[in-house]
Amino acid sequence: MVGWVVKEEAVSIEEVREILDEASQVVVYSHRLQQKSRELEAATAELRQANERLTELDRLKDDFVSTVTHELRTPLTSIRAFTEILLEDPEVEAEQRRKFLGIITKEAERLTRLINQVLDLSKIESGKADWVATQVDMKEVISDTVAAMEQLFKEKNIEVEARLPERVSSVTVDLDRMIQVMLNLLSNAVKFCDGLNGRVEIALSERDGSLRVDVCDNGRGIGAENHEAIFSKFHQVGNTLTDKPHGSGLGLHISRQIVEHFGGRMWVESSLGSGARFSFTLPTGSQT
Amino acid sequence: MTKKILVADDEPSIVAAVEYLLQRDGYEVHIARNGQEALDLVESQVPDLVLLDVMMPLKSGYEVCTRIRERAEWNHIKVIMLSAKGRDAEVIRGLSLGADVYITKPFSTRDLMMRIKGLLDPPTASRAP
Repeated sequence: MVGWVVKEEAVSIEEVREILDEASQVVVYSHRLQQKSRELEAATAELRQANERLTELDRLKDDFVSTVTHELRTPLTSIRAFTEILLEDPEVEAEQRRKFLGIITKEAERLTRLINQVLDLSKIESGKADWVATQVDMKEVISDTVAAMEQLFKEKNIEVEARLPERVSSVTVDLDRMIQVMLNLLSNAVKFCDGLNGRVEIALSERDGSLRVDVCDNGRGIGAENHEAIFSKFHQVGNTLTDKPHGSGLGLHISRQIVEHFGGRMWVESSLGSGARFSFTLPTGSQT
Repeated sequence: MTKKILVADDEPSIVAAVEYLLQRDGYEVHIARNGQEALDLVESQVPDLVLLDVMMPLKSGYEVCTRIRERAEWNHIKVIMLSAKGRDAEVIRGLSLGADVYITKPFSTRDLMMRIKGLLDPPTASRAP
Protein backbone atom coordinates (compact mmCIF):
# COMPACT_ATOMS: atom_id res chain seq x y z
CA MET A 1 0.00 0.00 0.00
CA VAL A 2 2.75 2.43 1.00
CA GLY A 3 4.70 1.63 -2.20
CA TRP A 4 1.61 2.25 -4.27
CA VAL A 5 1.00 5.61 -2.61
CA VAL A 6 4.49 6.88 -3.38
CA LYS A 7 3.96 6.41 -7.14
CA GLU A 8 0.71 8.39 -7.20
CA GLU A 9 0.61 12.13 -7.23
CA ALA A 10 -2.62 12.92 -5.52
CA VAL A 11 -3.69 11.18 -2.34
CA SER A 12 -7.21 11.52 -1.07
CA ILE A 13 -8.07 12.11 2.57
CA GLU A 14 -9.61 8.64 2.64
CA GLU A 15 -6.38 7.10 1.48
CA VAL A 16 -4.31 9.05 4.00
CA ARG A 17 -6.63 7.85 6.75
CA GLU A 18 -6.23 4.29 5.49
CA ILE A 19 -2.47 4.64 5.47
CA LEU A 20 -2.46 6.09 8.99
CA ASP A 21 -4.72 3.31 10.16
CA GLU A 22 -2.42 0.72 8.73
CA ALA A 23 0.64 2.44 10.15
CA SER A 24 -0.91 2.55 13.62
CA GLN A 25 -1.79 -1.14 13.26
CA VAL A 26 1.83 -1.87 12.45
CA VAL A 27 2.89 0.12 15.51
CA VAL A 28 0.44 -1.86 17.67
CA TYR A 29 1.72 -5.15 16.23
CA SER A 30 5.28 -4.11 16.73
CA HIS A 31 4.51 -3.17 20.38
CA ARG A 32 2.82 -6.52 20.88
CA LEU A 33 5.78 -8.29 19.36
CA GLN A 34 8.14 -6.39 21.59
CA GLN A 35 5.97 -7.28 24.58
CA LYS A 36 5.95 -10.98 23.54
CA SER A 37 9.68 -10.93 23.03
CA ARG A 38 10.19 -9.43 26.52
CA GLU A 39 7.90 -12.07 27.99
CA LEU A 40 9.83 -14.79 26.20
CA GLU A 41 13.12 -13.41 27.47
CA ALA A 42 11.77 -13.33 31.03
CA ALA A 43 10.46 -16.89 30.69
CA THR A 44 13.81 -18.06 29.33
CA ALA A 45 15.64 -16.40 32.22
CA GLU A 46 13.23 -18.04 34.67
CA LEU A 47 13.77 -21.42 33.04
CA ARG A 48 17.52 -20.94 33.15
CA GLN A 49 17.33 -20.12 36.87
CA ALA A 50 15.09 -23.12 37.53
CA ASN A 51 17.55 -25.29 35.65
CA GLU A 52 20.45 -23.95 37.71
CA ARG A 53 18.50 -24.61 40.92
CA LEU A 54 17.78 -28.18 39.79
CA THR A 55 21.42 -28.77 38.90
CA GLU A 56 22.44 -27.47 42.35
CA LEU A 57 19.81 -29.69 44.05
CA ASP A 58 21.03 -32.65 42.04
CA ARG A 59 24.60 -31.94 43.15
CA LEU A 60 23.49 -31.66 46.81
CA LYS A 61 21.62 -34.95 46.48
CA ASP A 62 24.70 -36.62 44.97
CA ASP A 63 26.87 -35.26 47.80
CA PHE A 64 24.36 -36.52 50.34
CA VAL A 65 24.19 -39.99 48.80
CA SER A 66 27.97 -40.14 48.58
CA THR A 67 28.38 -39.09 52.23
CA VAL A 68 25.70 -41.50 53.44
CA THR A 69 27.36 -44.30 51.49
CA HIS A 70 30.72 -43.47 53.06
CA GLU A 71 29.19 -43.33 56.54
CA LEU A 72 27.43 -46.67 56.03
CA ARG A 73 30.48 -48.44 54.64
CA THR A 74 32.76 -47.37 57.46
CA PRO A 75 31.13 -49.29 60.38
CA LEU A 76 30.38 -52.16 58.00
CA THR A 77 34.11 -52.43 57.30
CA SER A 78 34.98 -53.06 60.98
CA ILE A 79 32.03 -55.43 61.40
CA ARG A 80 33.08 -57.51 58.42
CA ALA A 81 36.80 -57.50 59.28
CA PHE A 82 36.32 -58.60 62.91
CA THR A 83 33.70 -61.18 61.97
CA GLU A 84 36.08 -62.72 59.44
CA ILE A 85 38.94 -62.67 61.96
CA LEU A 86 36.82 -64.51 64.54
CA LEU A 87 35.39 -66.89 61.95
CA GLU A 88 38.71 -67.90 60.46
CA ASP A 89 40.75 -68.09 63.63
CA PRO A 90 39.14 -70.06 66.47
CA GLU A 91 42.34 -69.65 68.46
CA VAL A 92 41.81 -65.92 69.22
CA GLU A 93 42.27 -65.65 72.97
CA ALA A 94 39.25 -65.03 75.16
CA GLU A 95 40.00 -61.44 76.15
CA GLN A 96 40.69 -60.38 72.59
CA ARG A 97 37.62 -62.23 71.37
CA ARG A 98 35.50 -60.28 73.85
CA LYS A 99 37.07 -57.01 72.72
CA PHE A 100 36.43 -57.79 69.04
CA LEU A 101 32.83 -58.80 69.69
CA GLY A 102 32.39 -55.58 71.65
CA ILE A 103 33.60 -53.56 68.63
CA ILE A 104 31.28 -55.50 66.30
CA THR A 105 28.30 -54.74 68.56
CA LYS A 106 29.21 -51.05 68.89
CA GLU A 107 29.69 -50.62 65.15
CA ALA A 108 26.42 -52.46 64.43
CA GLU A 109 24.66 -50.02 66.78
CA ARG A 110 26.31 -47.11 64.99
CA LEU A 111 25.11 -48.45 61.66
CA THR A 112 21.55 -48.89 62.96
CA ARG A 113 21.52 -45.37 64.41
CA LEU A 114 22.70 -43.94 61.14
CA ILE A 115 20.12 -45.83 59.07
CA ASN A 116 17.34 -44.70 61.43
CA GLN A 117 18.46 -41.08 61.31
CA VAL A 118 18.78 -41.02 57.53
CA LEU A 119 15.27 -42.46 57.21
CA ASP A 120 13.99 -40.01 59.82
CA LEU A 121 15.56 -37.07 58.02
CA SER A 122 14.22 -38.10 54.64
CA LYS A 123 10.74 -38.36 56.16
CA ILE A 124 11.00 -34.88 57.69
CA GLU A 125 12.41 -33.34 54.52
CA SER A 126 9.83 -34.89 52.21
CA GLY A 127 7.04 -33.72 54.53
CA LYS A 128 6.01 -37.30 55.28
CA ALA A 129 6.85 -37.26 58.97
CA ASP A 130 3.95 -37.85 61.34
CA TRP A 131 3.78 -34.98 63.79
CA VAL A 132 1.56 -35.64 66.77
CA ALA A 133 1.10 -32.28 68.40
CA THR A 134 -0.18 -32.26 71.96
CA GLN A 135 0.08 -29.96 74.96
CA VAL A 136 3.51 -30.70 76.37
CA ASP A 137 5.08 -29.59 79.64
CA MET A 138 8.74 -28.99 78.83
CA LYS A 139 9.60 -29.28 82.55
CA GLU A 140 8.63 -32.93 82.35
CA VAL A 141 10.48 -33.50 79.08
CA ILE A 142 13.64 -32.09 80.64
CA SER A 143 13.42 -34.01 83.92
CA ASP A 144 12.55 -37.26 82.11
CA THR A 145 15.40 -37.02 79.61
CA VAL A 146 17.91 -36.00 82.29
CA ALA A 147 16.78 -39.00 84.34
CA ALA A 148 17.13 -41.29 81.32
CA MET A 149 20.71 -40.14 80.81
CA GLU A 150 21.65 -40.24 84.48
CA GLN A 151 23.56 -43.50 84.22
CA LEU A 152 25.69 -42.19 81.35
CA PHE A 153 26.42 -38.94 83.20
CA LYS A 154 27.54 -40.97 86.21
CA GLU A 155 29.74 -43.26 84.12
CA LYS A 156 31.46 -40.29 82.54
CA ASN A 157 31.73 -38.52 85.87
CA ILE A 158 29.74 -35.54 84.66
CA GLU A 159 27.81 -33.33 87.09
CA VAL A 160 24.31 -32.40 85.93
CA GLU A 161 22.01 -29.68 87.16
CA ALA A 162 18.59 -28.81 85.78
CA ARG A 163 17.26 -25.40 86.83
CA LEU A 164 13.53 -25.50 86.26
CA PRO A 165 11.02 -22.81 87.23
CA GLU A 166 7.94 -23.60 89.42
CA ARG A 167 5.69 -23.71 86.42
CA VAL A 168 5.76 -22.77 82.74
CA SER A 169 3.11 -22.59 80.03
CA SER A 170 2.69 -25.73 77.99
CA VAL A 171 3.71 -25.82 74.34
CA THR A 172 1.92 -27.52 71.45
CA VAL A 173 4.56 -29.89 70.12
CA ASP A 174 5.23 -33.54 69.37
CA LEU A 175 6.28 -35.08 72.69
CA ASP A 176 8.47 -37.83 71.20
CA ARG A 177 10.20 -35.33 68.94
CA MET A 178 10.94 -33.02 71.88
CA ILE A 179 12.41 -35.95 73.81
CA GLN A 180 14.53 -36.68 70.71
CA VAL A 181 15.79 -33.06 70.66
CA MET A 182 16.64 -33.06 74.40
CA LEU A 183 18.42 -36.44 74.20
CA ASN A 184 20.43 -35.19 71.24
CA LEU A 185 21.54 -32.02 73.06
CA LEU A 186 22.33 -33.90 76.27
CA SER A 187 24.33 -36.63 74.53
CA ASN A 188 26.27 -33.98 72.58
CA ALA A 189 27.07 -32.28 75.88
CA VAL A 190 28.32 -35.59 77.27
CA LYS A 191 30.50 -36.15 74.19
CA PHE A 192 32.02 -32.71 74.49
CA CYS A 193 32.95 -32.85 78.16
CA ASP A 194 34.01 -36.47 78.20
CA GLY A 195 37.07 -36.83 80.44
CA LEU A 196 37.19 -33.17 81.36
CA ASN A 197 35.56 -32.98 84.83
CA GLY A 198 32.41 -32.28 82.97
CA ARG A 199 29.50 -30.20 84.12
CA VAL A 200 26.19 -29.84 82.28
CA GLU A 201 23.50 -27.30 83.20
CA ILE A 202 20.01 -27.25 81.78
CA ALA A 203 17.83 -24.18 82.20
CA LEU A 204 14.22 -23.55 81.27
CA SER A 205 12.68 -20.09 81.17
CA GLU A 206 9.64 -18.31 79.77
CA ARG A 207 9.50 -14.86 78.27
CA ASP A 208 7.44 -12.91 75.72
CA GLY A 209 5.29 -15.82 74.64
CA SER A 210 8.03 -18.36 74.25
CA LEU A 211 9.87 -20.99 76.25
CA ARG A 212 13.61 -21.16 76.11
CA VAL A 213 15.75 -24.19 76.90
CA ASP A 214 19.51 -23.86 77.40
CA VAL A 215 21.90 -26.79 77.62
CA CYS A 216 25.34 -25.62 78.76
CA ASP A 217 28.46 -27.71 79.05
CA ASN A 218 32.00 -26.88 80.11
CA GLY A 219 33.52 -29.04 77.39
CA ARG A 220 35.89 -28.39 74.52
CA GLY A 221 33.67 -25.77 72.89
CA ILE A 222 33.12 -24.97 69.22
CA GLY A 223 34.89 -22.25 67.23
CA ALA A 224 32.74 -19.47 65.74
CA GLU A 225 33.51 -20.70 62.21
CA ASN A 226 31.56 -23.87 62.98
CA HIS A 227 28.51 -22.37 64.71
CA GLU A 228 26.28 -22.67 61.66
CA ALA A 229 28.03 -25.62 60.03
CA ILE A 230 27.30 -27.99 62.92
CA PHE A 231 23.60 -27.69 62.11
CA SER A 232 24.18 -28.87 58.55
CA LYS A 233 24.12 -32.52 57.53
CA PHE A 234 27.13 -34.65 58.41
CA HIS A 235 29.17 -31.81 59.81
CA GLN A 236 30.94 -33.00 62.91
CA VAL A 237 33.43 -31.19 65.04
CA GLY A 238 35.77 -32.98 67.31
CA ASN A 239 39.37 -33.27 68.26
CA THR A 240 40.56 -34.19 64.78
CA LEU A 241 44.11 -34.91 65.94
CA THR A 242 43.21 -37.72 68.27
CA ASP A 243 39.77 -39.10 67.98
CA LYS A 244 36.72 -38.93 65.80
CA PRO A 245 33.45 -37.91 67.37
CA HIS A 246 31.09 -40.85 67.28
CA GLY A 247 27.68 -40.10 65.92
CA SER A 248 25.99 -39.82 62.61
CA GLY A 249 26.46 -36.10 62.09
CA LEU A 250 22.72 -35.74 61.61
CA GLY A 251 21.50 -35.17 65.19
CA LEU A 252 21.68 -31.38 65.36
CA HIS A 253 20.40 -30.99 61.81
CA ILE A 254 17.32 -33.05 62.67
CA SER A 255 16.86 -31.31 66.05
CA ARG A 256 16.85 -27.88 64.47
CA GLN A 257 14.32 -29.01 61.85
CA ILE A 258 12.04 -30.31 64.62
CA VAL A 259 12.24 -27.07 66.64
CA GLU A 260 11.64 -24.98 63.51
CA HIS A 261 8.67 -27.15 62.57
CA PHE A 262 6.98 -25.94 65.77
CA GLY A 263 7.89 -22.30 65.14
CA GLY A 264 10.97 -22.16 67.33
CA ARG A 265 14.66 -21.42 66.79
CA MET A 266 17.84 -23.28 67.73
CA TRP A 267 21.36 -21.88 67.96
CA VAL A 268 24.69 -22.24 69.73
CA GLU A 269 26.94 -19.85 71.62
CA SER A 270 30.44 -21.09 72.22
CA SER A 271 34.13 -20.53 71.73
CA LEU A 272 36.93 -23.07 71.54
CA GLY A 273 38.04 -24.29 74.93
CA SER A 274 35.29 -22.69 76.97
CA GLY A 275 32.21 -24.87 76.69
CA ALA A 276 29.07 -24.48 74.66
CA ARG A 277 25.51 -23.29 75.23
CA PHE A 278 22.89 -24.80 72.93
CA SER A 279 19.55 -23.00 73.12
CA PHE A 280 16.18 -23.37 71.54
CA THR A 281 12.86 -21.60 71.83
CA LEU A 282 9.29 -22.75 71.37
CA PRO A 283 6.27 -20.45 71.14
CA THR A 284 3.74 -20.95 73.95
CA GLY A 285 0.92 -19.36 72.05
CA SER A 286 0.11 -17.09 75.01
CA GLN A 287 1.70 -13.69 75.50
CA THR A 288 2.91 -13.36 79.08
CA MET B 1 63.61 -59.29 57.33
CA THR B 2 60.37 -58.11 58.90
CA LYS B 3 58.48 -55.82 56.57
CA LYS B 4 57.21 -52.51 57.91
CA ILE B 5 53.66 -51.39 57.21
CA LEU B 6 52.15 -48.01 58.00
CA VAL B 7 48.39 -47.97 58.59
CA ALA B 8 46.88 -44.50 58.14
CA ASP B 9 43.20 -44.30 59.06
CA ASP B 10 41.15 -42.15 61.44
CA GLU B 11 38.65 -44.91 62.27
CA PRO B 12 39.91 -46.58 65.47
CA SER B 13 37.93 -49.82 64.89
CA ILE B 14 39.25 -50.29 61.36
CA VAL B 15 42.79 -49.59 62.55
CA ALA B 16 42.35 -52.18 65.32
CA ALA B 17 41.23 -54.85 62.82
CA VAL B 18 43.95 -54.18 60.27
CA GLU B 19 46.63 -53.93 62.99
CA TYR B 20 45.59 -57.31 64.39
CA LEU B 21 45.69 -58.97 60.94
CA LEU B 22 49.09 -57.52 60.04
CA GLN B 23 50.69 -58.40 63.36
CA ARG B 24 49.23 -61.90 63.13
CA ASP B 25 51.00 -62.33 59.80
CA GLY B 26 54.29 -61.09 61.22
CA TYR B 27 54.51 -57.53 59.93
CA GLU B 28 55.85 -54.57 61.92
CA VAL B 29 52.95 -52.11 62.20
CA HIS B 30 52.95 -48.33 62.66
CA ILE B 31 49.73 -46.33 63.05
CA ALA B 32 48.85 -42.83 61.88
CA ARG B 33 45.51 -41.22 62.80
CA ASN B 34 45.61 -38.45 60.20
CA GLY B 35 47.35 -37.44 56.98
CA GLN B 36 50.02 -35.32 58.62
CA GLU B 37 50.98 -38.07 61.06
CA ALA B 38 51.13 -40.47 58.11
CA LEU B 39 53.68 -38.28 56.30
CA ASP B 40 55.73 -37.83 59.47
CA LEU B 41 55.85 -41.60 59.94
CA VAL B 42 56.76 -42.22 56.30
CA GLU B 43 59.67 -39.82 56.84
CA SER B 44 60.86 -41.37 60.13
CA GLN B 45 60.08 -45.06 59.48
CA VAL B 46 60.27 -45.37 55.67
CA PRO B 47 57.80 -48.30 55.62
CA ASP B 48 57.71 -50.93 52.87
CA LEU B 49 53.99 -50.41 52.39
CA VAL B 50 51.38 -47.81 53.35
CA LEU B 51 47.70 -48.64 53.84
CA LEU B 52 46.11 -45.29 53.18
CA ASP B 53 42.57 -44.18 53.98
CA VAL B 54 41.34 -41.45 51.61
CA MET B 55 39.18 -39.31 53.93
CA MET B 56 41.47 -38.37 56.80
CA PRO B 57 41.76 -35.20 58.87
CA LEU B 58 44.49 -32.61 58.15
CA LYS B 59 45.69 -34.23 54.91
CA SER B 60 43.71 -36.54 52.65
CA GLY B 61 45.03 -39.89 51.48
CA TYR B 62 45.28 -38.44 47.96
CA GLU B 63 47.59 -35.73 49.25
CA VAL B 64 49.72 -38.16 51.25
CA CYS B 65 50.05 -40.41 48.19
CA THR B 66 51.11 -37.48 46.01
CA ARG B 67 53.77 -36.45 48.57
CA ILE B 68 55.12 -40.00 48.76
CA ARG B 69 55.39 -40.25 44.98
CA GLU B 70 57.21 -36.90 44.76
CA ARG B 71 60.30 -38.26 46.51
CA ALA B 72 62.55 -40.57 44.48
CA GLU B 73 63.93 -42.30 47.59
CA TRP B 74 60.36 -43.33 48.48
CA ASN B 75 59.78 -44.86 45.07
CA HIS B 76 59.92 -48.40 46.43
CA ILE B 77 57.14 -47.76 49.00
CA LYS B 78 53.99 -49.61 47.97
CA VAL B 79 50.73 -47.76 48.49
CA ILE B 80 47.33 -49.41 48.97
CA MET B 81 44.41 -47.00 49.15
CA LEU B 82 41.58 -48.17 51.35
CA SER B 83 38.49 -46.11 50.94
CA ALA B 84 34.78 -46.08 51.61
CA LYS B 85 34.54 -43.84 48.54
CA GLY B 86 34.17 -46.43 45.85
CA ARG B 87 33.05 -44.58 42.74
CA ASP B 88 35.01 -45.18 39.55
CA ALA B 89 36.22 -41.59 39.45
CA GLU B 90 37.72 -41.92 42.93
CA VAL B 91 39.41 -45.24 42.13
CA ILE B 92 40.89 -43.76 38.97
CA ARG B 93 42.07 -40.69 40.87
CA GLY B 94 43.78 -42.82 43.52
CA LEU B 95 45.53 -44.99 40.94
CA SER B 96 46.56 -42.00 38.82
CA LEU B 97 48.23 -40.42 41.86
CA GLY B 98 50.47 -43.45 42.11
CA ALA B 99 48.67 -45.89 44.40
CA ASP B 100 49.50 -49.51 43.54
CA VAL B 101 46.11 -50.87 44.56
CA TYR B 102 42.74 -49.30 45.42
CA ILE B 103 40.51 -51.33 47.73
CA THR B 104 36.94 -50.35 48.54
CA LYS B 105 35.62 -50.63 52.10
CA PRO B 106 34.21 -52.95 53.31
CA PHE B 107 36.83 -55.41 52.06
CA SER B 108 37.51 -59.10 52.45
CA THR B 109 40.30 -59.46 55.00
CA ARG B 110 41.70 -62.45 53.12
CA ASP B 111 41.80 -60.45 49.88
CA LEU B 112 43.52 -57.54 51.64
CA MET B 113 46.20 -59.78 53.16
CA MET B 114 46.81 -61.48 49.81
CA ARG B 115 47.20 -58.13 48.05
CA ILE B 116 49.69 -57.00 50.69
CA LYS B 117 51.66 -60.22 50.41
CA GLY B 118 51.58 -59.96 46.62
CA LEU B 119 53.04 -56.45 46.69
CA LEU B 120 55.71 -57.18 49.30
CA ASP B 121 56.80 -60.64 48.11
CA PRO B 122 56.15 -60.67 44.38
CA PRO B 123 55.92 -64.17 42.91
CA THR B 124 59.38 -65.45 42.01
CA ALA B 125 58.29 -67.29 38.84
CA SER B 126 60.44 -65.07 36.60
CA ARG B 127 63.60 -66.26 38.32
CA ALA B 128 65.69 -68.76 36.32
CA PRO B 129 65.03 -72.38 37.30
